[in-house]
Amino acid sequence: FRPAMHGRPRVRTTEEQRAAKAKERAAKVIEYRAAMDDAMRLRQLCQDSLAGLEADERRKNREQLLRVTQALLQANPDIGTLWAARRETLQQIEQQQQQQQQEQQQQQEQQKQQEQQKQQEQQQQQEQQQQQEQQKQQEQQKQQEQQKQQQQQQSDEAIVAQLSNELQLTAACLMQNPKSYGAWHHRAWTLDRLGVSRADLAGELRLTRQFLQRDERNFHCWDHRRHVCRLGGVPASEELAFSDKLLTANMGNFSAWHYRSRLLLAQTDGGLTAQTRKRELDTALSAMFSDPADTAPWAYYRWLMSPPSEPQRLLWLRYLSRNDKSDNTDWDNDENVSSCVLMCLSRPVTKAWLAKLLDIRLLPAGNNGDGCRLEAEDPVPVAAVSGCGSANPAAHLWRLPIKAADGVEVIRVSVGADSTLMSSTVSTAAPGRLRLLPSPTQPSAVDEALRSEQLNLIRQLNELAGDSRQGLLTEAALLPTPAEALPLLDRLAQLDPTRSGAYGHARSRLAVRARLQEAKSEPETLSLAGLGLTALPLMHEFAFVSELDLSDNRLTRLPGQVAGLQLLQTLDARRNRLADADACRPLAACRRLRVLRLTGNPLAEEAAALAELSGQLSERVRIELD
Amino acid sequence: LTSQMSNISAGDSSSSDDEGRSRRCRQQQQLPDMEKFSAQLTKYCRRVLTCLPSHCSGYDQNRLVFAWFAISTMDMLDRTQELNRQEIIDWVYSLQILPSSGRPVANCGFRGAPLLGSPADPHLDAENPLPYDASHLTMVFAGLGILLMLGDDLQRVDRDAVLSGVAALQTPAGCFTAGKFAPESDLRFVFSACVSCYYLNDFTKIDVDRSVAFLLACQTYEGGFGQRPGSEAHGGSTFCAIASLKLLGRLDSALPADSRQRSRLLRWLCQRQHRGFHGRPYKDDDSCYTFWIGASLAALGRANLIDRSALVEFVFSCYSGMDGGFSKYPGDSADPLHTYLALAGLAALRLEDERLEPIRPEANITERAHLHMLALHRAAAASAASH
Repeated sequence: FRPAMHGRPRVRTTEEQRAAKAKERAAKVIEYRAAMDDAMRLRQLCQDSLAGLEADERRKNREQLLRVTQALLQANPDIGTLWAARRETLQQIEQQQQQQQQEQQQQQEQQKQQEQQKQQEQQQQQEQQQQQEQQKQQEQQKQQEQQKQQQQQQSDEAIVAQLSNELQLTAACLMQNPKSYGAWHHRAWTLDRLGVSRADLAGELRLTRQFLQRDERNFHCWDHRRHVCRLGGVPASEELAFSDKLLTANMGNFSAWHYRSRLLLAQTDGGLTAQTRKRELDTALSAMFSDPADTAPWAYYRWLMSPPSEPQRLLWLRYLSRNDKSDNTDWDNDENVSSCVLMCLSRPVTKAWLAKLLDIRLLPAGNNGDGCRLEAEDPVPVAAVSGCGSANPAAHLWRLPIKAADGVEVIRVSVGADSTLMSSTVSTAAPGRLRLLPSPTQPSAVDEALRSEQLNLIRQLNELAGDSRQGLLTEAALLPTPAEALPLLDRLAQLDPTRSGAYGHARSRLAVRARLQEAKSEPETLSLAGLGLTALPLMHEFAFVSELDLSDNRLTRLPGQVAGLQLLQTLDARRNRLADADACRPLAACRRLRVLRLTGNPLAEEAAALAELSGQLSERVRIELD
Repeated sequence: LTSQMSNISAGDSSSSDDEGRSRRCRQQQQLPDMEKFSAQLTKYCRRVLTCLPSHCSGYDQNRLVFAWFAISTMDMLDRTQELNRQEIIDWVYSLQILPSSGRPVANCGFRGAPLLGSPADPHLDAENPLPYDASHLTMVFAGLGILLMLGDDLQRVDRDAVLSGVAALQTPAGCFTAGKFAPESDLRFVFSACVSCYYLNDFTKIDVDRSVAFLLACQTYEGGFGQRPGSEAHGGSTFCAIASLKLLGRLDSALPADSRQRSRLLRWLCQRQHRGFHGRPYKDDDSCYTFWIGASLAALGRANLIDRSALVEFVFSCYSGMDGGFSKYPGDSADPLHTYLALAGLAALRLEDERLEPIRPEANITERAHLHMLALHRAAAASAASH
């Protein structure tokens, strides 16, 4: 039997051959159906709950079931229900043997008690033979202990023999079908059943090695090896040595590199030490230098050099007041809400998170104390990133309504706890003023010296080997600033046109990031003009802008997150690729938008589309088409 | 998506007939015109629905999935009206496993085929439940999917039983096993569970947070997702992870748009294209990854990042007019799984809008069937409100 979907090449056969094959198959089908029916009937019979069957008959049924299922599984190891039948049967056998053992033990206990009674009587009668009797007693006890152990061993051996049979069966199935989920799973179950003390784990590791020699990417086999190592508590250092051997034989063994990454994380509990990182970098580099065309070590190398995840950051705050004459936003109808704080975080959070980790305090003038804590009663997500319409939306940007508070001068907003606490303040005396928190210098567990050392090495390698996809990607990843990486992405797009869309996208991100990092005296006016943007990422970081220049880019549509630009008044989108009203749909949510520039877009030439767009936007928006 | 099918995803880059295959590849594959293409495919699907070759006998217990492949393909061609819909719908319902005094609600759902001899009347079957008869998550998904595609109103589905059956298979770690007597657990079944809850519009019985945690634990350093925590990143499981997160409404909070995990994931997905897609580094392009990788990108809103013409060219190089379906590699025999996944991938990426009805990637169903599902949800909500 060869599973149908592992890639069957087409072969021409003659009519005669076809007919003969058909006959053969028809016979096989009948055989198969008969065997399946048999197996199911036997499985039912094996249920001990069926009354009236003698223990002997049950045993015979079980043995037959094991025989029948063995034959079927060797032909098709993917019938899960047959493996399950075997597991049940083995469990029943084990239970029965345990029962027998218990009964025997009970019998022995009884015998022992009877013996003891007899001996006591004899003692009363013949005191001179006390010593002899005592000796006899001890001997008998010893014998009984031995017997007990023997029986334990026997039943143990019996179970081990059964389970070894399962190992043989699964091995036979796997030789033919090394990718059978059912067979691997059953083998793992068998090993678990044997347990650390009885399983031949060294033999098991050898077996996985053999299968990996046939196909080094067989993930079933890799998963099995991981299972065996967990079961046997094999130390990570031994497995690292194993992956070393595999990589020495073939540096491109992707699965071995992956395995290494898991082992290291397990060994160092999530964070690599500087020493470990250096050692691994050297391993990867020697692979990369000896064959730069091999992709595997590059991916691993980039992982080693990547900085840790960015923690949650408080990006900016803005205090808005109903009394502020310059604020022409529509306020909610709740008269009690006189002001609000707009707060933006680097990673989206939910209301539940805010309830736990958001702290707002009102500090009246002159009061240097803790101030009075305000419950963030009903924070409103602005442009939720997920769970829109559900009970639990997540957003970067939140609107925190604040009820009237006389004499309050300073509002302190804190998020996070303990070491991750970030805090900033806004003054009620200056409504509308943006409080932009300074972005921390690039955090890296990868220190600056290491980064620049590695950058030099990679540059050397790229010079030796010439432009390559992996080389350019890696060099770009090691550069200290996003602006420096831009020309590399251009070269990548030329070198690897299949992925030019992806590179354009990554380039847009770097370009926006570079622009944002430039110091600005007036952050509310942002220019992203002329960056060749094909996408508009990181919008939550500049969601406070009132003037945004997106001209001379390559945007085909304005993404949904544009709805989060709640303070946007002027948008210059000239000379992009906006084709229809739909491309600008998110602007309808920008309540303060007053001016929209569209010259140089396909949309600007289509009267009907413009009319549609006009209809979508508020009548306060002026569309300029000079 | 059953255990056997997924063997394809493991990918066999070796071939016993390399020379023959490359010879066939060199022959120009001419794209047939729409009518002929549609006719050939339909003929193939009908064959799958009526009679499979004997070498497929090992898939006996997975008939529901095979039916799903064929019907989904015909749905993309907008030709399901040519089938005897009622007959198929009734057959699907005959595979439903209903609760009774002899059968706990945790065993309920759908089976793949009446392998154990269960009667065609599910009520009769419930009165005398067969031992070892239990639901399989992939069959729940396939069964509900077929009903939706054929326009059924799901009135005969015992929603409570099916959903309880799904929930009963969730593990403490947040994964799902395939069925009571199929204890293997990995992302394939997390997806089957999530999409089944999605079709029935009810996630309340499963522990969503735990599943999200399990899903995230499956992401590897490369950026893709493995079948279980610790396993290598792989195209099939990556789709299962992304689709599950999206269906659970947690994609953008678990993998925020500007986060490193998201960019690594996108990069990993984009790297899976030579001309067509493959499932892991160093593997040959394989037509089924058109869906696993393509739909992943589509679900992430990044269908535009790939080389579309190269992909289409590769996919059709796997088409054989003689068979009427698609094969895993160019030049091989067609099979129902690759036929569906090759086309569904193109449909999810909206690359063949003239030939194929688009597919909603995370729900793995046509937009038309998806609309029908939404209408059913609205009707149910309306009638619940009026009570």
